[in-house]
Amino acid sequence: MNNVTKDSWRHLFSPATVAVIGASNTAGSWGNNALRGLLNNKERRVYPVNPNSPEVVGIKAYRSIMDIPDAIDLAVIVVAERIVPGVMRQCVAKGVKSAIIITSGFGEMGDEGRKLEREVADIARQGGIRFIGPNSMGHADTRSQLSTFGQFGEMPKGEVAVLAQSGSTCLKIVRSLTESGIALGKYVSTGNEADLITEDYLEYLADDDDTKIIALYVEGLRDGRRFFNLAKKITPRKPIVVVKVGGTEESARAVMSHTGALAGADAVYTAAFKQSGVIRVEDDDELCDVVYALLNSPLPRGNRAGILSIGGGPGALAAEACEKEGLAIGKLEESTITKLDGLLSSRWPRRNPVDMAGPSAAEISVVSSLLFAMMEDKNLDFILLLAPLIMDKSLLAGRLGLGPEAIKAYREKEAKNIALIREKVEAYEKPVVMMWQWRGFSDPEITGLFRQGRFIVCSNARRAARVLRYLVWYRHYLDVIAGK
Amino acid sequence: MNSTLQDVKKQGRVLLTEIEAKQVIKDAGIKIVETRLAKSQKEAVDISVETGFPVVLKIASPDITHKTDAGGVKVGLKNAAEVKKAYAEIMASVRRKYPEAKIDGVSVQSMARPGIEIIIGMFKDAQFGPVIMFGLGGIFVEVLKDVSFRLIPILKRDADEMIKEIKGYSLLNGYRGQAPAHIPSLVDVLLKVSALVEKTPDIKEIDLNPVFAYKDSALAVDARIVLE
Repeated sequence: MNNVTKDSWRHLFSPATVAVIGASNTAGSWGNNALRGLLNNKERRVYPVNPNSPEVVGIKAYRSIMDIPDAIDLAVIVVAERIVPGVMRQCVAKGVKSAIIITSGFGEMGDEGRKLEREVADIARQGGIRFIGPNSMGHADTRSQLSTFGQFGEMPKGEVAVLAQSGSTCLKIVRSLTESGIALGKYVSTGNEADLITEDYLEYLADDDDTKIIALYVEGLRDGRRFFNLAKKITPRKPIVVVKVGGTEESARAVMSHTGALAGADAVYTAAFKQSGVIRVEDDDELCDVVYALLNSPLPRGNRAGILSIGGGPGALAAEACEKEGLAIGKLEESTITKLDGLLSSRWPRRNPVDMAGPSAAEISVVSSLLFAMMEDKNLDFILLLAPLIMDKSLLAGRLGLGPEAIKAYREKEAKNIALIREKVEAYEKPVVMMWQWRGFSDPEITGLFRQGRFIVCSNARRAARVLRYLVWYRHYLDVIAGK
Repeated sequence: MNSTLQDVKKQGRVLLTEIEAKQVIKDAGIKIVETRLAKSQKEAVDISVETGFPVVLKIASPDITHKTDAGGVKVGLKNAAEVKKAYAEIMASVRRKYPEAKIDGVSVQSMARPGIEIIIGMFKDAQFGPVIMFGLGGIFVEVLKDVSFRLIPILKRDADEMIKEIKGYSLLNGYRGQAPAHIPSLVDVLLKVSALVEKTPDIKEIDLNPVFAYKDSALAVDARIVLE
């Protein structure tokens, strides 16, 4: 069922009134969490429905949704699966605008559940109610401070949307992104998709001004061709990053031709994603890495890595990881070698990876100058940085013997350098990936400086190389469709 | 719709004969080995002489899908005597194994000069609709499944990518003294298959297997088409 109206989306994501059917006093239950989470936003009118209790979490509860003296934009349904059809009928009678069914025990449980699911969907369709789920863990919109996940506290507003066909994966992705400092816009655990399907949400997010990047976890699409056509239109202006699992059902296809027998379902998904500019990653960690990079970094013009390393080993590991992912190790320009000669001891090997060859503390202070020299090299499209850009406190006080005042001055200089690196990253369209000091993120002072520089941060070479491979691929796709 | 396809539909069939499939492919502008129907032993010899030896004879019957298993294929026939003998053997074997089959005769085609073996095909995916495939033929496709896919319709850049994407791409540049494959000709075949399918939604599956790639051209050797 296509053509979800703007009103339906508004009622789902920024309802003025919400009824929680199955609101519960039992701490830790879905009906309790969802209700308390919804009460975060004081401007929203939230009505608990519970036939056995006059109050839930201290606010007046209603025996039935019919008793609520207000129009309801969104019904959150958290009752036992058997009574969901009856509840949906009441919602229709009440004129409820939209719904989310958290209750599980439907299509995911076999034939009987499927029958029940169809019954609920039919009632909703005839009554004009669009709904999320069933078997959804919730949905959220940070703009309207709405969450049916049972989350508490203010949600930071961001521009990343997440759609996931698994509730726990949805929450894991949301948590990982949040931990990397990324704020979200809308996120939905789409559940069994008995009414609204991934393709519907995608169509909505395509024109949603609050969404700049779309992250998806997909197990199977209902209408692949529609997804493909939508994605082709969306990816030139908004990146779509997807994790797709469940490449099975290959044997299901009855074919007479050789060609059909050769095509696994997964191969067709892969082709469809490639052809429509969708960045397909392997798992949720990669998804977070790539979303972070897309938000914080320009896309590299090409696939040539520049590697700046404090020693030989880290540089060799990074170079190998790059080559495995189809990235090239750029050949340094003569002018760059000359510049680096002036900054490094004569022991450096005069090629990429640039190996600082065991620098002294004083030499470490020239890392940003080395980085600038490499960023200016026309043969390099991005830089993997495996040397400290910010000095540890212990190094400054110990090896360099600086007092508190001098350390403060040193930090100011570092902050300026970081700002300058950021300017160059944008001006040259050359991402810088921080791979050495990521553990420094536990020091709030250093974390602050890194966040300011918006570096891509990766804990190991393979992860960094894979992120870059995705960025390089996406940039290439955009260039090709733009006819460059 | 193509007149060959119209005839097949009128007869209520979904599987095209070899001659019909080749006609549809030829009409789509794709170079394919000239194949003619011989309704008698004499016709088989006459066509062979016109086409030039060596030739291939294949049983032509809408009821027989697995021609080789039926003893219905003879290759490398070098002269009229061999063609005569092959014709008789094919008929004897097919009549014994498929006594009920309607037999149109035999198809006669010249042996194509060997090139790099390619497979190009199309099928319909339940989720994504028509999909086109490209791969290296022979063991590469049988054992290694070294193939690439795109959704139809494709653009030239998609065709280029499909070809470059297969693991054995470097083999197309020539190996062991074999001439390299002419990539633009393969791109052209892919685009024409895509256009044919786009124009003819009734086509459910196509196999061009093999297509021989030469240093300056590409030639489809066999074709199989299934309708909805």
